[in-house]
Amino acid sequence: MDEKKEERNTQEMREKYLRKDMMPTIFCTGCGIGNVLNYTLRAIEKQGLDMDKTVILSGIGCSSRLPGYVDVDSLHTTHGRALAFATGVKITNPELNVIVFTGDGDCMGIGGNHFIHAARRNIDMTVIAVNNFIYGMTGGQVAPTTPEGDYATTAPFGNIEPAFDMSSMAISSGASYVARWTVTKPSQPINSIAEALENKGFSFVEMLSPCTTAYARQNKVGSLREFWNWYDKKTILTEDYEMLKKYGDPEEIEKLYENIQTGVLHKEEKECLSDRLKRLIEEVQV
Amino acid sequence: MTEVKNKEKKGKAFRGGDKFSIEVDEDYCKGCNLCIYYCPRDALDESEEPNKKGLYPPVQVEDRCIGCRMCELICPDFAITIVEEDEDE
Amino acid sequence: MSEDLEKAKKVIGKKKQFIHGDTAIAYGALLAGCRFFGGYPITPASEIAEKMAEMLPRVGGKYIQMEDELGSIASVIGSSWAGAKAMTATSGPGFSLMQENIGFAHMSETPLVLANVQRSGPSTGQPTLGAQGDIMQTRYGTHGDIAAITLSPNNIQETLDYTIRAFNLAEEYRTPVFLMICADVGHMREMVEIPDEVETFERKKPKVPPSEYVPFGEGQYGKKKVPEFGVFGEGYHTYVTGLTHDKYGFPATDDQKDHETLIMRQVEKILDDREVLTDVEKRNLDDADVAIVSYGIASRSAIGAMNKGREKGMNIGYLRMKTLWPFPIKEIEELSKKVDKIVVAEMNLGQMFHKVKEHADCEVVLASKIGGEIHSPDEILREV
Repeated sequence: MDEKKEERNTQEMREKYLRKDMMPTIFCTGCGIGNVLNYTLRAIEKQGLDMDKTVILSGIGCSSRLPGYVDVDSLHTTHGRALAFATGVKITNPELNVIVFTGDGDCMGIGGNHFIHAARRNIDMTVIAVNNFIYGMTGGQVAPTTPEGDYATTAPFGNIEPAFDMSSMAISSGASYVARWTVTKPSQPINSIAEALENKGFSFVEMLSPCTTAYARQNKVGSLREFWNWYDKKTILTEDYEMLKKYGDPEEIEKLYENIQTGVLHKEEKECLSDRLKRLIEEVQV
Repeated sequence: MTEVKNKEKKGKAFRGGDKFSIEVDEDYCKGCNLCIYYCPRDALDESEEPNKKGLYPPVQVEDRCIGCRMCELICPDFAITIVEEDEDE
Repeated sequence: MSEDLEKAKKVIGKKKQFIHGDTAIAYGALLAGCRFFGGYPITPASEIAEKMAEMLPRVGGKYIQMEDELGSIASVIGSSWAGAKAMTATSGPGFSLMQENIGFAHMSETPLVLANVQRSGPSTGQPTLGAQGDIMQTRYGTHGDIAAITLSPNNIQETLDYTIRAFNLAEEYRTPVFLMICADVGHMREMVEIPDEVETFERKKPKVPPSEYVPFGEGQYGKKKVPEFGVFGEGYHTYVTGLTHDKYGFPATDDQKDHETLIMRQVEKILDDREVLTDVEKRNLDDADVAIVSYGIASRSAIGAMNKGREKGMNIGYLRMKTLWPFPIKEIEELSKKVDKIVVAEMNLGQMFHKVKEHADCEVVLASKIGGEIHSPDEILREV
């Protein structure tokens, strides 16, 4: 009960963190990107980050508009390249807290190469990737994460390609903290993003979020409520997934394969690049 | 004060008293109504009449808010705030 | 700063060295205060990266080999905003890949140095042989309207000195600066002398509190059209974007006037100083009937051509453009009034030729050479 009293309410969060001149946001009604911002700011509040020593970067897309709403040093870069810019920022000044907002197209499509290398290097930054299974900003083209069979403006007969699993990619590339959540249950991502910020290494948080216009109008998602509900039905906590696989009946196990696993999917302690570089410089400096 | 629809709404009518007031910023609200849907105590409902943007922003249903602040978290637009009234202790 | 300079000189070593152009660029960068290099291997510029990888950690600087050239230039821009003097080095194919982010650097007014050790193109071309085929690209390679500063040294000492100059200009004008050499200069060795004193232009930081700082408007105390540079981590909370923005950095994409105001200031901050930035070398122009205009390695052949011609009794003069952009309009206009003919010697099918022709009052012909070989003096003389 005491903890709640310390928490800031929305009005106080707005005062502290938002660029009032930029509000209200450009996001469509019922879009989850605003929630991603909300949860990230609450995680930042939880961690007590110094906003004068924090830099937020983004690429291009709806989710990449997020830094514009936060009163902080922001770098709104080119499509897919935010992680490379962020690498330059962090390596140059490791004192800065580096946070990157990106999207499924921005990070996994055009940005794929920078994504796997930033993860490989385990650069100390927190990457929050909004995955809405579509290229939303440009009107709803198919994305590398669009589920097979879904419709998009450039897949008018249904997507014939398999979809990437962003979190798996992060894990295989070497990220030290990987989690996936939906926007529908606030506490989980807030606590997880706080952990991600705490982690000294490449933290990747994939946020599954509904695109209520570009994606929704092409795929039968029902009402806004039904669409948001679908995210809860479609996902399952990774621990529950493992339990059911072991103890479930054949029918339950069959259904499991349709689900997307959420939760903290990978966590390890691993030296970040800045620390390694620091050691090198100490060794060789004149 | 706009009229609240569905006054005879089913659901838990837990008496939260008047400890919490719900403030909706109509400049930010986009009328998605997620707060209404996610409120565990049905303390919010759609307004009867649209505002100048043509939206039906949520209004507080008296005596129900328990200050869980789910609406603050689920709102994508920073449009809703729970204000705790000062208690005389 | 002089402690930094002392460290750099210690790492560089002997005062007189027999080095190639790539090494000279790395030395110049270190002396100028460069403390970040983000690059990718490419012939014939890889040696710059290799030298920086070896020297930077020893002076406390940061070297990172990125996954591709797009990442390289991106990391350099990020580094600059985080407070470092930053550079990258590449050649034609990499330069083409970098164009989008170069545009971002122009739009966000980010100081950085990009060294292009040009090789014969297009495409993979002749990787180990030189050319001067990317000159127009530094000015017009990125989409949209920008103004560029491009330097073109023709010997190794000048390459070292011009690298320092490039960093200074980048900071002074808050812009990317292009240092163009070619594979020949990159891999050619000459004696250089490491300077004892190096004059550096330090980043102009804002002198006002964050609430009064204007990151993308007119300078509040320095050069009129160059805003002060409030780097990240100092409380300025600057919003940097590639979208057209107002003077506070926020997107302003709908109004024609907003875009014009921004772009004109960015372009004029450089073009207004065209004459200040112009640097040329002139020889034998007093009595010349014909002038050979050249730059980079081709200019060394041009001198040969001029000397040969003089021996035969021809009145040939020589003008070398050391700054390619902004284009030295006044120098060319005045030259064209003095001589009857200008021969532009360059290792491409005509790039600066068109600019010279645009501004010259006299006849202008092209002595072009492609294929990875420098002109022989006779080949240039033929056009005279």
